[in-house]
Amino acid sequence: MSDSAPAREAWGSRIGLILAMAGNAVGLGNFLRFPRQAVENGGGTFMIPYFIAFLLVGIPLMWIEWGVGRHGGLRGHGSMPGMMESLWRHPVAKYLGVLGLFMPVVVLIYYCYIESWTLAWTWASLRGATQGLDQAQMQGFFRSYVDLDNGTVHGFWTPFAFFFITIAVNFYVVSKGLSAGIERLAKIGMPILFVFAAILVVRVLTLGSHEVMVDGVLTQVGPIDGLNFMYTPDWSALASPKVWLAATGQIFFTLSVGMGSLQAYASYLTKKDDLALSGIATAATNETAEVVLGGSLAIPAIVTFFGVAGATAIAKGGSFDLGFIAMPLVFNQLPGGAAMATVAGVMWFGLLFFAGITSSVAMATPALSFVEENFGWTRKKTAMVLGTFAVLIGILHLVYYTQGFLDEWDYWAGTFGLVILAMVETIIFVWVFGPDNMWREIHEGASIRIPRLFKFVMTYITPVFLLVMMIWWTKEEALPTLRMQGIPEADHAVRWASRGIMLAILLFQLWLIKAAWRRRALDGKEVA
Amino acid sequence: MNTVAIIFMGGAWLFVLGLALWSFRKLLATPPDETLPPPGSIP
Repeated sequence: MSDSAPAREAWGSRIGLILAMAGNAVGLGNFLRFPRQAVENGGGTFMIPYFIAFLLVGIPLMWIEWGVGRHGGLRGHGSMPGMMESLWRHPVAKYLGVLGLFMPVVVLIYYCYIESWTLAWTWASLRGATQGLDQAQMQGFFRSYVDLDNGTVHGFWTPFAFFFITIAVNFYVVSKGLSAGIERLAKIGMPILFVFAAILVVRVLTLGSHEVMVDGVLTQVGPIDGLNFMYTPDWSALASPKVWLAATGQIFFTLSVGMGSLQAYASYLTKKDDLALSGIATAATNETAEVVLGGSLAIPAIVTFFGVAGATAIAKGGSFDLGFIAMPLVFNQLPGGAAMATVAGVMWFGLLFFAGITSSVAMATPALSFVEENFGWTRKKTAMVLGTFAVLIGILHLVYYTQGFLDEWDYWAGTFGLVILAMVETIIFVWVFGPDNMWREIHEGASIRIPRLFKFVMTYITPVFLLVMMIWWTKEEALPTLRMQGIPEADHAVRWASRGIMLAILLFQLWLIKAAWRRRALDGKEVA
Repeated sequence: MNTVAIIFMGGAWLFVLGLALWSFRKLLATPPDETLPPPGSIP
């Protein structure tokens, strides 16, 4: 550790750290993406590749990212450019670290927009705006919100107002600092999230049977049929590479690895802090939220009122249809009338909001740390400038959402980019820094001894798994996406503009890294 | 609910809840400042 490393903030408590890390991981995907992925990829059999990916990629990447973060943090770096250079003394290393700035900033902007929907729907539930709507009207309610040209139900400015509020709340929290802002939010938000989710799960699983039309015959369907639908295995799925890829992808998204935010949080750990056990506890908390709570909510509830065929059709419409159209319809049919619909709606969208905000504040952290540490700005000033930037760029998502502006960012930064960063950091931390150094770093201050088998897994299996995944994704998804296959010609211009803006952000960040290192050289500071 | 679905759901729940309980019990049992000696120092 460099003696010249400046004093940095620290986590107030171990439980605060784990809740903040788990808050980062538990996001909208736990409750919306996971059930849909399971249903579409073999039901019960999906859990086999899912848990194999968890053990071979998820947990190892958790340790790798905590290790990279703390190693960098001890040398005064709260973001990936400095962390990379402290692991690999090569002029290129810091520029590879741009991925750990680019991904969280890009994802943060569009994630806040989706997070703002949850706030808008919480408000709509509170004032009973979704009550009494049938399926077509509920679809209209959603479409009218995301399509500004068709904003007849909500009014043109409503989505903007909720987006600005969401950004303001996010940047207010991060401007308060690590302990008073992020850690306090996690200590309040995570228990609320778990309590709301647990109450809703109990309510859903005790719903009883309802009559649903199946093949022209009225049939009794209940939440158990939903669980049955979700967990009945399709053995042929195990032979499909697509299913293995979907499972590994879900592990990536759910644990928030490959993003740069876990590393930023871990950079505030000290040499004495445990990361081996804390990493497992964080992953386990996330998996509980996903498998036990997320898996028992949307699908069983929707199957109860729409039957298996109806739920399949809704799931095919996407995660947002599941969360923002089908769930409010379910709440409208709950015994207890309008009051119950209001309570369930507020709990559902409230839990999604807390799941979202505890993740988005983590995404803001790497860029804030980078600017603070390299340009000497205060946290408040940095939060203000980054927040303004997020609002200005985020407006484009609101205006061009229906033309796929957000989809481009979600694919290139929020999906494909995660694998690239995970791959790069794994190679540098494990192969360049060295397997023995990596193993020693992870065990520094550890409360448990990690089975030695994992050293082999992290050295060989995890990188190979990531490489295979990246090659497969490039062939199957990235190239067709790049060529805009299946995208209406009319949307091409907007999508290209969307890519252009992402590229501009990437180039600007590369320039910032160059400027920061030039500043360091002028100040006579060397990377520790 | 069919038996195989119950096995898959039960297995998945058992795995994640077991891991969560084990890790949090261990965390609560270990004072934050108590650390293991570095790897390789115990013969």
